Amino acid sequence: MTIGALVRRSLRHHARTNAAVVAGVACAVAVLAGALLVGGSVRGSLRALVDQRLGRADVVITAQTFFRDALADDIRKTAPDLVDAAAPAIAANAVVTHESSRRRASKVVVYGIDDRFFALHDVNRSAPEGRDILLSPGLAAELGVADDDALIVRVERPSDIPLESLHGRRDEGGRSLRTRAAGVLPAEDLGEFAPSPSQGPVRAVFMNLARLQSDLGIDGRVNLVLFRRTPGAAGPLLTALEASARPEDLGLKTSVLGGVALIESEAGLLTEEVATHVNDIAAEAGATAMPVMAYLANEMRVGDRATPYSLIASLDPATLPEGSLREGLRAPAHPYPPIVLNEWAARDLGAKPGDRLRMEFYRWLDEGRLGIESAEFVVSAVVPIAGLAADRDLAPDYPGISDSTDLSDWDPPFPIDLGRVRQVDEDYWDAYRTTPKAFIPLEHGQRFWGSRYGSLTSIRVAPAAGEDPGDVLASLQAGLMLRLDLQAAGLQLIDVRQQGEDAAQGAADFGQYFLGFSFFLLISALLLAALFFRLGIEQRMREIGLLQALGFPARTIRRLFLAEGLTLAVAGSLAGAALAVGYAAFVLYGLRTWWSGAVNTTALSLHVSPTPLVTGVLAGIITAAIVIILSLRGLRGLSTRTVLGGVGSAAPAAARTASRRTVTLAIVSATGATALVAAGFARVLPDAAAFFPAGMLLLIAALAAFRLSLNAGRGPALSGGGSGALSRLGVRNAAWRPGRSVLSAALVASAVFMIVSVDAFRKGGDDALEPDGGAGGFAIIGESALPMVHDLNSVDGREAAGLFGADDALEGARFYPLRLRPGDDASCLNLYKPRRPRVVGVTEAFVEANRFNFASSSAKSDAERANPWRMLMRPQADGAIPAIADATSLQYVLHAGVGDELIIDEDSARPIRLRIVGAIAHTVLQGEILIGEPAFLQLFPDQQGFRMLLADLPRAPDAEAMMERIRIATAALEEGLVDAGLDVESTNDRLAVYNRVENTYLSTFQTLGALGLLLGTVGLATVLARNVLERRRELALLRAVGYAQSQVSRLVLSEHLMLLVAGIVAGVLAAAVAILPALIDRGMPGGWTLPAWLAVIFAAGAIATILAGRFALGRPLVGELRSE
Amino acid sequence: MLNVQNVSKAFDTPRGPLPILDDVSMSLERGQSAAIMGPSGSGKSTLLYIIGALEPPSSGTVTLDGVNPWALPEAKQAAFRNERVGFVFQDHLLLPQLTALENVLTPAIVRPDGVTNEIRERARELLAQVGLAERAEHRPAELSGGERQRVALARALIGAPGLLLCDEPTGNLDRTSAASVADLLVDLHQKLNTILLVVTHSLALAERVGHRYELDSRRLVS
Repeated sequence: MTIGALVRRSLRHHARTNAAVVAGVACAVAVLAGALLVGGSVRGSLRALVDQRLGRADVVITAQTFFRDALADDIRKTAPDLVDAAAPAIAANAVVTHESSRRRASKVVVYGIDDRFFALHDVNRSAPEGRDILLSPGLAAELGVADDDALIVRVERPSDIPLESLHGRRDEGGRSLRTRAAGVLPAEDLGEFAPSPSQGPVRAVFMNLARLQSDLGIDGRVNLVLFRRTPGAAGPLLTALEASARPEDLGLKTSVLGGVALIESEAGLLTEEVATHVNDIAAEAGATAMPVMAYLANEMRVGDRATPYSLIASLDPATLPEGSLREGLRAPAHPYPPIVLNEWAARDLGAKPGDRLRMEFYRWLDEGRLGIESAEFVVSAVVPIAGLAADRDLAPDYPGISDSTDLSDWDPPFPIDLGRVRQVDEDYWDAYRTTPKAFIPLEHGQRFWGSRYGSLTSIRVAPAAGEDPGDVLASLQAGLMLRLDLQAAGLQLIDVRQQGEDAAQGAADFGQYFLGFSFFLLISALLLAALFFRLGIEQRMREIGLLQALGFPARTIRRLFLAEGLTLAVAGSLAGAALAVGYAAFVLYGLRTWWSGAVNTTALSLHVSPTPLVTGVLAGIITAAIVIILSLRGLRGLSTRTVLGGVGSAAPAAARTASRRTVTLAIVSATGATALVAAGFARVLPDAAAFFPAGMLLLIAALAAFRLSLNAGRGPALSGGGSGALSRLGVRNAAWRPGRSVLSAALVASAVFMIVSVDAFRKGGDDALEPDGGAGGFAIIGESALPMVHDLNSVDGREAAGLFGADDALEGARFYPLRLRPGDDASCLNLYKPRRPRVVGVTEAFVEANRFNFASSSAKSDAERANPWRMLMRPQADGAIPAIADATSLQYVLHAGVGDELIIDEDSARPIRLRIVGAIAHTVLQGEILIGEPAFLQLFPDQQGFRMLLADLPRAPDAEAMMERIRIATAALEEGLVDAGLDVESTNDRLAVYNRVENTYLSTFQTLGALGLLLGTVGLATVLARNVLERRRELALLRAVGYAQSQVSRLVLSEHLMLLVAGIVAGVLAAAVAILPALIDRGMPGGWTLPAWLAVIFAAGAIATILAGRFALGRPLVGELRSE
Repeated sequence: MLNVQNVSKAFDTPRGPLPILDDVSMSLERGQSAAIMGPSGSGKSTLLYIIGALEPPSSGTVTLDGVNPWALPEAKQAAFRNERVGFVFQDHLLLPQLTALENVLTPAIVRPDGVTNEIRERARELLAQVGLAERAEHRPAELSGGERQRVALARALIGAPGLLLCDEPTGNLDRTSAASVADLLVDLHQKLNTILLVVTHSLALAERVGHRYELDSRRLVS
């Protein structure tokens, strides 16, 4: 007989008890490894979704404006080793309306594709022809589309000219196309194609590229190219892009005109960057650059004579040849700037040098409307219509103007009064077209008409003497392409494969989440394993005593049991690894079904990998070993005689030491809890970091105190009679085995703590209409597919936007438009890590409204503390952009806090450094990062107009009337702004969506907590059954001395119900501390869930206790009295 | 008066009924005592449990002062044991979590009056009578085997029972302790005027009680 044999025999002999220990350890490992598997599965599922939605596209070029579709082939030819296939396409925002049902879907992406798209993805299909479109499965289901149904697709119309400029075609922001549904494009055929990672349903339609180009008036141009890398080839495509791109791909127009090279922009204005480079290149080539800023004046007036609608050119006299034009522009600017009129204008106005001239012109104002401004000039010269003054190309091509035969045919995107057009004006148009009627110095023209898009309409570069203008143009083209940062200029080259894989790491580690969610389950399982192991040891006390009596050293006995314990730990851990797969499958099933509200997708599936399983097994073995070693420590200090007696009660000295330790534990835990609560109230620590740990410490303190109460005097004295006396006797019994009693109570207490504390964080109906509520007092929130530019707060603006007859519905409404750079949702609705988050630019009016409640901010002055939004307008010393975001999004998705620097758009040529200056508490703006409008316009000059709005509505007398008011306003806005694809919802509804996510997470947490409770009740029932079985002789004695069966049952139940109640009380007390801030903020939770949970917990424990009691007391006790 | 009439007992086993007692009859008056002897497995303890209303007879009747406990409902049967019967077992069967005094008081908990000061005083007196006045607050683990059995005896007498049933009360004790417990049993029986019925293998103990019965072949022989 060896020690090993003894261990083996013991394991076999005590198989039942050991099975319970193995089961406990297996549960713990299953929970641990399962949680890690869930994390891995979420990441794996996201990656699979990225692969499915990208197809075989690895890299894309995308742009806000349109470039040559031939660029795709050019790049492929330039880098044949890198590019296996290329497919140019158009991706445009759209609103799709099902013609017969009038169902509407916004935020749809229209892809214009040709056969190259499917060829690139190795899909054996042809692109749709003519007016046929294919729909993504999600969109088809949403609209209920059948084959051949008619669909109106309103597509964002590409415009090179900014909408927020005089010549922006605001009335043509979209183009409506009547199409025919030709079927659903299945996901495996790229029906869910999306270059950006997202897990929600894809709303997309696919139509013929050439058709879409023709409909949008952009033949030969696209805004997206997909590339498939040659397998095995690595290397950046940027070099190939730089070698292949041409100025026209950046929206630049270059030509030779009358001996000079001309640089213009499709947008009408040259950016500062382009202008600087052109000037530099010209200077380096010895050429002369002549910048021009042309504009349309509504009126020039001298005295009582006026000339309507005149083109004005502003020129730099330093760049002009000698002559009266140059001299006139060089005239002093006091008291007013000089203006040079051509002879026609001077004659028409009856003006002569020295006369004062008043000019009126339109200007696009920030609030979203055209304003009329004016300027005073002094006529400094009159020049003949000859030379430069006769150059009709000084003004760029203005759609609706330049191509008109007659002045009365003008169709500009701004109001003109054709009644003012006289025959002489028509005659001038016939003779001179866009020839400027007047000239002003460049600096004044730029001051009056410059904007964020630029302050030059063209630059003419005259070659040095003897040089060919064609050569100058060529060197300008080459130089510009060399110097311009293509990515910054708008041509974004994105490695979508890499980006998708990075984003698939997830905004949050679900493994950690579920480990956190399963924490109490884990603890319960470990406690249960410890309980079973301890019961096993207690059961074998006589055996231990016998071994001691036989001369086994204490160390050998401990090793013996440790060997047994470790064997059980290994067996349990291995079993747990198998169970972990089941647990993870269960959680993922829950995430796909009951808890899909938390993840906003049903596309999560189990991905089993060895790492989490091995990690779980190792952690399980180590943890179980520690638990077992701690249990064995309890054997120290027991005398052989005591142990031989099977009593297992520590010697007084050891008991005193244990008692002292318990006192220390209680004091340290209670002190720690108090300190954390104080830190929480003092705002030294955030609530979550202060109160929840404080609650946990208090739980430990409460359990330690319970243990001490069991020790102290071993319970109440026996007195009185009836149920009270029986209960007191029961308490005495519980005190007899304090270790197992406390473990049982701890199992219940931890489950109660978790369930109660989590329930308090459940989000309910926040009063969104309070200014510091989650909606900031705004009643509705909207987002448009196409940019909105009109001021909805003015009658004119509403009408210009198309909101006719909505005055009643919108009476008293106040709108706060927000600029939006579309991107990745930064809220908890997005599982992917947001690489390019949505950024909102807030206006001055929004800032001054001072809405929402700030969870924290880095406000420095009283003014900023009074209105932390003002921090957005204060530039940071280090150049970072001040930003505010929702506290929840910051914590769980962006992983940043107030004061942190957050870098977004890291993949782009210009990563943006944001400094988080404030966190707003639980708001409707969880998906966005907010910055000030000036910074927004600077960072995202291509983003036009406003795509979001918040609106106040007058408060109604009651909630129902308010809901009706919101419904009416919502309907009016969506109907009136249908062309912009505006989606409006009540802020309460939006908050409810976010609440649903949080509440679902809480439900998940509670469900897993309930599993912990299940283990707790199993533990309680086990302890009861074990206690009863061990004490059957005692109970038989009680029967013998006259206790009725019911009295014995009551005695047993009272003892164990006391443990249940102690666990519940300790758990509730600790939870009350953990949720103190929530209790203070919201008062006692009024819902039914908390009492219901407590009832369930008590009922579960009581039922388990009763069943275990019946089982244990079911057999006759009399036999136990016999000694034989 | 204890009256046992034609009591038979058979246990159900997988192989059919196993007879233990066959037509056993006996009677004892208040103040009388008797010992039942016999080999192990002869049914001595079973007879004792039947008399003490712990084990139902297969047939026959048992009455104590005219009351047949087996005709009573369960709760009244328990009250019958509590008020009229005192048990002492071979194993003392003390509750380890309670002190000696509390163990003596255990039956009082389920009495209508519960643990009163009066009963507490009586318990102390009984402990004094069994020589354990100084050990009242000690737990069973702190007492010797003889002391534990004396506590068990005090517990059996706390309700002043008319019938004191002892199942091998000295079986686990050394000779001195056994003699001491036997002295106490006889002494207290006489003082309290109970009916004392002792199941024992100890001839010494049997000789100290009034009657001696032998269980032989399932029948009681005087």
